[in-house]
Amino acid sequence: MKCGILILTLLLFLSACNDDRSSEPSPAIGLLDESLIICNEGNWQSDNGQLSYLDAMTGELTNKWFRSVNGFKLGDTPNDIIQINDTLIAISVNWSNIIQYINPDGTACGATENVPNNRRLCTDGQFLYVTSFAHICGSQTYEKGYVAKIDVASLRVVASCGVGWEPDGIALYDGRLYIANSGGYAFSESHDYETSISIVDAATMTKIGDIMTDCPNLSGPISRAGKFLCINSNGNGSVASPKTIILNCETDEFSLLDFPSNLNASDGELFYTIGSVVENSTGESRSHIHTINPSTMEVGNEICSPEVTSLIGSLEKPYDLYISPYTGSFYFTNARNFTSAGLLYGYSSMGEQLFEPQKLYINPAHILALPRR
Amino acid sequence: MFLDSKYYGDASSYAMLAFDRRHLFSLLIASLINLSSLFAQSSLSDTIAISEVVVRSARDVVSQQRLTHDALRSLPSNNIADALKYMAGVQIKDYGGLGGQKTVNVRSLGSQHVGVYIDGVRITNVQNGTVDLGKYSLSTLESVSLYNANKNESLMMASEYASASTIYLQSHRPDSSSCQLSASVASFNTYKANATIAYKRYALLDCAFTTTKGDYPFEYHTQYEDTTGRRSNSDFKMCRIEGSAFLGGLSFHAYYYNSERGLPGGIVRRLSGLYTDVGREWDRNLFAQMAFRKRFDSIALRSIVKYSNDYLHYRSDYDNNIAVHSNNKYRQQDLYGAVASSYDNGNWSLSASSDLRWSDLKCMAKTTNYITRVDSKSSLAIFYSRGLMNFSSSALFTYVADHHEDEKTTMSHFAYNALFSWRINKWTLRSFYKSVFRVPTLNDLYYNIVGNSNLKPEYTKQLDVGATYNSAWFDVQCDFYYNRIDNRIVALPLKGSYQWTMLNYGRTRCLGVDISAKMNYKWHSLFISGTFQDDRNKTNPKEDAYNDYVAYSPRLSLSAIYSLQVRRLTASLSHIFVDKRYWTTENAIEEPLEAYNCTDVKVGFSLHPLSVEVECQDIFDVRYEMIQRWPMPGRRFSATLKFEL
Repeated sequence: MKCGILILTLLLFLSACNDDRSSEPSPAIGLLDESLIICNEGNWQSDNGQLSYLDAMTGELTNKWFRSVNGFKLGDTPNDIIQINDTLIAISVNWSNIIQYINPDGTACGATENVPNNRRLCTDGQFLYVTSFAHICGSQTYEKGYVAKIDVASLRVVASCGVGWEPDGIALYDGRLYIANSGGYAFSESHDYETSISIVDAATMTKIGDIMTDCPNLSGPISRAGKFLCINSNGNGSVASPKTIILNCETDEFSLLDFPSNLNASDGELFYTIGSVVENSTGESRSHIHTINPSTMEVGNEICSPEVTSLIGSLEKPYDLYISPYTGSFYFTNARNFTSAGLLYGYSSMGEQLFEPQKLYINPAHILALPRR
Repeated sequence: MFLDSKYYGDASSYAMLAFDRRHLFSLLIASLINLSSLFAQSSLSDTIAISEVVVRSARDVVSQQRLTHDALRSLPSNNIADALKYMAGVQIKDYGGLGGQKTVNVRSLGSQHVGVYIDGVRITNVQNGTVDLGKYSLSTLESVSLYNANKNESLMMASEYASASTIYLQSHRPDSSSCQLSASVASFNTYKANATIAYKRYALLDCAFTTTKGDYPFEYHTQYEDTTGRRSNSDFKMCRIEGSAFLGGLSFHAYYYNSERGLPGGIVRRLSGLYTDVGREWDRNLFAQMAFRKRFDSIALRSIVKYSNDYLHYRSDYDNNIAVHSNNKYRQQDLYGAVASSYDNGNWSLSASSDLRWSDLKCMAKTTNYITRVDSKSSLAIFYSRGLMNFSSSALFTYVADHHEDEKTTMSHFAYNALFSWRINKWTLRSFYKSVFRVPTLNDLYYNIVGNSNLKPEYTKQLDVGATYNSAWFDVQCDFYYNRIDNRIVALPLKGSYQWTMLNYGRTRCLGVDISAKMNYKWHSLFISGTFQDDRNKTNPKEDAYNDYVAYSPRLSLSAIYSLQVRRLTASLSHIFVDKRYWTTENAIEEPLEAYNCTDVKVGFSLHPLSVEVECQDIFDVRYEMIQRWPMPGRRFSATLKFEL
């Protein structure tokens, strides 16, 4: 009996001795035409938002880049990243209630606190515009959500304007801000999902008007191709199905396409979209991958190349799609099961693979390219 | 024939309506039970005095850990979770402070697979399936027992077979009239008052009131942060009134609990405390239960009825809250009836039982939802004992029917277990196999956009081999176990970061060994326990997280309690060590939570009718967390003055 216990203990001990939890390194990368910063959302309330940095000069990927450069954490659930000018990058750190600024080398250079529950960003180089789900902006209160204007020189909020419930995506065109209102808290709050796109004059931060789309829950990023915007509607899970809205900012008229574009990007001419519809009955996800010519409203069923399209279609959970404004290269991420490290993929505009899939961190959601220094 | 049954007739006829005719097994069991009920009724009519049932039990067949009344009183503990953490194989999830939710997980099977029973009746939460152990007091308990698998008595209710592990809270049964009043003052503006009155051997009344600001300090000092602060919005106030009455084989228990608490969030990077996410919760729980046992020669009968009414109010619609504004109320009712009967015939006995539970849940959130659930369980068990050998086996049939928005969905399943033991002198060798399944909770199925009405049940399988050594002053037991969970019910953000969906996803496997020992010598007693386990993710071999340790499962945990009782002086010293725990599914991407040691001490002095107790928890002020970013309070003191007649 004693002998049996001893043997079992030994076996258990040996089986448990394999405590090597080190991460397998991603395949090596050669020189790249541009560096990439990837914003990993982490898990909500776990204070584990992270930046990953792929260095064009060395081909080296550094996960947890922000904290290794600065010696402190980025915060909880970073939600967007944008380059303001040659020396300044802004990150909306949603649940930390801050906009964090960094230099292109990753060093932190200030933060703005007065936009809690911040969501997405856009900029004209002089000012930064941020949407927020909250109702407070400094001493100002709003019934619904708002958009705040931050002076890049002082990093202070200089104006704000109330819009719809839970405003999410934001884009700037000809001095006007287009804000997609989601009403994302409709599951609990007394209002319904929003169907409106608010237009705000960026100079005066006064609301010009609303475009009513009849498409509920406008959420996700907004991409711009010339005078056109691509906006996703998640639908309401029952009667209203997900849609893609193509808005002409010159006329404020829009067209609808009968598929979602949860992820969308533009090369300045076309929109590239990845959408998924989750069947409530089975929990299974059906993906929609398209290219949209906003001028003609022609819709293609391919992104980059047939191989890339097929690859995207095979991913467990595509989590961001980004087209470099410098090289036209396609980058996308896969969040996999949302609890393990996600992956980064890169392809040239001709469909050539730039590097093997790179392992990032939990929920890699936002990519930013920087020209090679 | 069902309608005539005094103790079960109405319930069983209701059960039969809910049953599908195909379920012949449950029909057989119900019929068997009803026969015994009829027998019991006819016998009762001739009986005036009700004597207590002596329960035949092969107590060593399953591994059992037990803290008795004296041991519980010697612990510097506030609640049942504090006591259970000393037992082998137990992992507590504690969000910190008196108001922080405390749930228990045994052998890494998940908190929803642990059945918690007060005087043999299961505490249920049809909404989310977990029991917040912070709501239940130690002061009224005779003992706290943990069984892996389940007890091995012949008069078990069907629902007692339905959990992977079972925790029994046995109410203290007074032996004389007494009155005890106590008042405590403790760290973080904590004040407690308690009154316990006992009347002979018949009744016990216990009232408690607690209030705390809960603003304990916390610290994080790592390579990447240097954070200090105080918990805010963590105040807690509660009132509890509990009473028990006993008369022969009849026992009655009533419970009322009312609380208000702040819900502090996880500690995340903030530049200041300017903006907050403020949530508050009000709970009200009420239940009344009555149990009856009776033996008539070779036939024994046990029956239970229970009604519970729970109310939960969550609010976050405050102007200064920067997150979602909610004002949700939930009302649950639960009506439970159960009967078990057994037949003993020398070496073997047969037991049959059937439970019927009707629950409803009314969610008054943005829209009002009303859901009802009928949960019926029937079991058939056989016990065989010959010489030094014991064997038992049971089959459990569960049938669940939900009614939601004019739709009816049903689930049914068979589960089995088998237990075996062999006694050799002071040693007992034993083994068990048990399979159970967990029905998705109403939150899993129907909660707003999260719920998935197509969820399948979650399955667990357990295999255990162990041995116990008993002597006059020294007991030790050791168990090796293998667990497997299939079809885990998890939440995944399939519709975007803020829109979660419940899914059946994942499989885990756990290998482990539990060891516990008890020693008593004169004034001294010592309880030591330890768990070594290897709990791995076995979901998908293609995933990087495959074969990684399951989040929050430590490989090693140790505990010890030393108690001394010399005339008027009592003292105890307790210590816990919990090894590092990974908190991410893929272990390699984050540093684990650090291992921690926590030492508590308590000293009491009695000079009748007064006694004083002073305690210090976490005397070395070790800062640790059980849940990532939810810090536990550090060193804290408490002084209690008691007056006893």
